[in-house]
Amino acid sequence: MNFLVLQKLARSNYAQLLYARAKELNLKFFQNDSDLSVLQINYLYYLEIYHSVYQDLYMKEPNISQAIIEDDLRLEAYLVWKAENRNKPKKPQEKRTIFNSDDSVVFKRK
Amino acid sequence: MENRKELAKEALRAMSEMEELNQMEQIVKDNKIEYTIAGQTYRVRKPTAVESIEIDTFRRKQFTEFMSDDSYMFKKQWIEKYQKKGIDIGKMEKEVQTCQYEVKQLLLRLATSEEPKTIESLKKQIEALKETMYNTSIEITELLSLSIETQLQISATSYATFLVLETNVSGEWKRTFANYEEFRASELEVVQKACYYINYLISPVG
Repeated sequence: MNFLVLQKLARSNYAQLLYARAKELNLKFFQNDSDLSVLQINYLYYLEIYHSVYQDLYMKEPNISQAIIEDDLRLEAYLVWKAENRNKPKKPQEKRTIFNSDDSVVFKRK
Repeated sequence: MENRKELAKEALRAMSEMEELNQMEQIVKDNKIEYTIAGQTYRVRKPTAVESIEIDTFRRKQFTEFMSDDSYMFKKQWIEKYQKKGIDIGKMEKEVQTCQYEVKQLLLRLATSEEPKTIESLKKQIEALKETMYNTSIEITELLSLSIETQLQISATSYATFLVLETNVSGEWKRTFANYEEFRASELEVVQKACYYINYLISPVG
């Protein structure tokens, strides 16, 4: 048992899906509502980290890829870079179009 | 044949990983860590509110005891003593901070690197610096291990472990040791594991 297993669990599709639904529907995540354990605090932290990087990946943000998400050191590097650049004005980007899997809906990003 | 063996190995590995993840999910949900030694099942759990008060009381009594014993000193006093003997903990802490800064700069470079050779080289540099940081931090911790703060943390966490270590007796969970003295005297694997697992459940009680 170690934090790497916890991290792997938080990164899994299952945990990410559950986390997204729990946030939307205000579902109960743990048996206790307060006084979280060290494990629970870390789990929530990892869930949020992976949730945000998967969102970045989906939005095709720069410097992130699936390979980076699966590489702990490169992911750490990305998070440091992201925090460092959070308040910097973004360079104007080209208009991007993202298609979903069945091409029925088109999301346009200005 | 070789291929089938490989597949079987891979399936076993995947199953054990899934088992590990399922086990972790359960622990995260209910804050109870179960383990088996020689056919006997034990668990550590998060202290209840009443137990937390008991831990606080223990901590307070222990602190009073430490304060009335002149051989116990605070971290600050130990740092001064070490300074006189030529060991500069402040300097060691600064070294850790410098390493942290260098790691951050390298991480920023790694984040925007795409060339595999550069990535590998940066990763190696970061890992080496992190190891230096880790070793220096461990050295500082060891030097200050006899301080009141650290001793108090060890005692309180140990007492908390005694309170929440339970044995499964015919389906019922019962406290493993009748009293703290018995727990403290024990060098059994069950206690060593419990002391390790408790850190996943409670923050250092200092």
